[in-house]
Amino acid sequence: MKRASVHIRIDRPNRVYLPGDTIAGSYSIEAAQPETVQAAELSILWHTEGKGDEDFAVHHFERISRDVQPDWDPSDVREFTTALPNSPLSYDGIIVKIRWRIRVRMFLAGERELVEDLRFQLGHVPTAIPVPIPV
Amino acid sequence: MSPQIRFFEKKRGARRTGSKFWGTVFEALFHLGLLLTGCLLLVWILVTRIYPHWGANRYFHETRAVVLDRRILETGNGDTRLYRPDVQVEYVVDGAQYRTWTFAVTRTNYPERGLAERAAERFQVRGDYPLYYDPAEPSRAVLVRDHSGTSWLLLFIPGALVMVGSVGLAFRVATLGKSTERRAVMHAQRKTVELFDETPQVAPEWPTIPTDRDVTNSPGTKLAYRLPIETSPGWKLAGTAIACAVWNLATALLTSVALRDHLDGDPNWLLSVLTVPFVLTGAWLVFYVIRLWVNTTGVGPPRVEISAHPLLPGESYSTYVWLPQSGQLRFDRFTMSLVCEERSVYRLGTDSQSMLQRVYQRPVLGGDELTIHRNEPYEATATFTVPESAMHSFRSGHNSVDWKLVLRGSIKGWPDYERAYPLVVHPRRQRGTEG
Repeated sequence: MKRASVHIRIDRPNRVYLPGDTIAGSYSIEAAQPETVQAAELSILWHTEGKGDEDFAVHHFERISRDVQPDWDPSDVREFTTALPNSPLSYDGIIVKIRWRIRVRMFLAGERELVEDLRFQLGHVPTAIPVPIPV
Repeated sequence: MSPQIRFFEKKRGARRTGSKFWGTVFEALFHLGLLLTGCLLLVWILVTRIYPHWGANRYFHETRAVVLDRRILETGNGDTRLYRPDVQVEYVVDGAQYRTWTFAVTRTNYPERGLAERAAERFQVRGDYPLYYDPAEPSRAVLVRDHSGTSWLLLFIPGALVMVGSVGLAFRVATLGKSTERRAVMHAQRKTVELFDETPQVAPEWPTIPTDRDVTNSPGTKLAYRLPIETSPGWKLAGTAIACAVWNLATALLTSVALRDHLDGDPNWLLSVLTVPFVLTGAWLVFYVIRLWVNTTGVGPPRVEISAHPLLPGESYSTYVWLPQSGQLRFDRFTMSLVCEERSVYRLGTDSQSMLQRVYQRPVLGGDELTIHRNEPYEATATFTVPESAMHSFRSGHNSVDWKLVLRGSIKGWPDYERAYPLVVHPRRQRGTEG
């Protein structure tokens, strides 16, 4: 049985932004039993992928919970908007990759969580090409 | 997401599987245990070690006492015996005579009888010595109330337990049930209010891009800024030389033991065979240090300057190189290159490994033979362009993208000469609407 799902939408179909651009969008939660959804968090973050241990930082964060807003209906469409920073730009390196994501984390009853990501691109840095290091 | 609680986790680098909630609960309990242990130990030390000495020094009154007898008391059994000096004294307080066995305010045990005897010999039988008694209970008296201060040092142990336990517990409680994103936001907010935060490594308007303070605080003689060297070769040489000395000292000790057995006519062949790889490694270290020394001191310290900083993609910059040399030096090949490298640090078990990948390299200067004559420093100026599509400099906890100018020279019969000068590349300020 599908318990819940999250739908994230952003204002640019190609999901490409430049530093300083404003990103706008919305998310909504579809749950068979809305009362089981305790809280939801929206994060706009970057993180690294590749050979090294993961680094990440959150640029924009919003949280809504029944504790603070008892009349919150998870199926309501919640809008968000924020200006993107100058850096770091999205990067597809060889051993270092930088990804930007919009992440909605949903907290369900019983300490369960559900996470939905939507990737977007910040800037235009082409894919890196390896160069041998002289010995 | 697992519907069941996993008590046994599988560790994948910094990531873990299993229930985060219960993991945090167990970690909180562990830190609570440390905190309680520290508190109990702290109270025990205060009550049994600190307070009695402090009370004796502060409240006990002084009088004179005659030593009647002395003895050494033994406690423990088997190999773990302890010895305690004990002295019988007689003294008068307010007309009343008291006779008691005493020594110090707390039991002073020694691991050897001789040490206890030496402590007791400070008080000769029939001798007259100062004695300190409790005015509220005059039968309580001590001959020794000096305090070495070691009891105060004991406080470091519970102090460390209390500190680790309380900080760990506070952190676990503060993060209990919180997502990694929320914790990251809390951490970022905490950093902004830290009173003793060191100078920021990144400018707020350029997140993850290192500051260029180290470059722009050093003016050049021909161009705007003198570039700092990435790693001083002198430090590398000194560190390697110390490691070489320590290794070879240990090897010399091992070898001397093995040789002595041979000279005594009772050779230990296992030890002799085990010594061989130590000797070979020591010899290789000596060779490596000599190579490093030649590399470090054979060529004078170069000076590299740049016309502007930080760098921007698509922009051109001038660079100036000045290379002094006390004697004639001939490079078979001498180049300066603009280089971009990715660097990653990752955990492999309990080790931390790093990996380097070069993603850009273009020659800026040289490429041919170069001869530097005695007392005629080499000077050259060149222009280079940062590629239009360059990734900016990036630095986070375990990953980085680094730009630098690299001087590299090949000298016949010498190890290659290489010096790197870090640069900071910013992204272009782009404002516009995509899509």
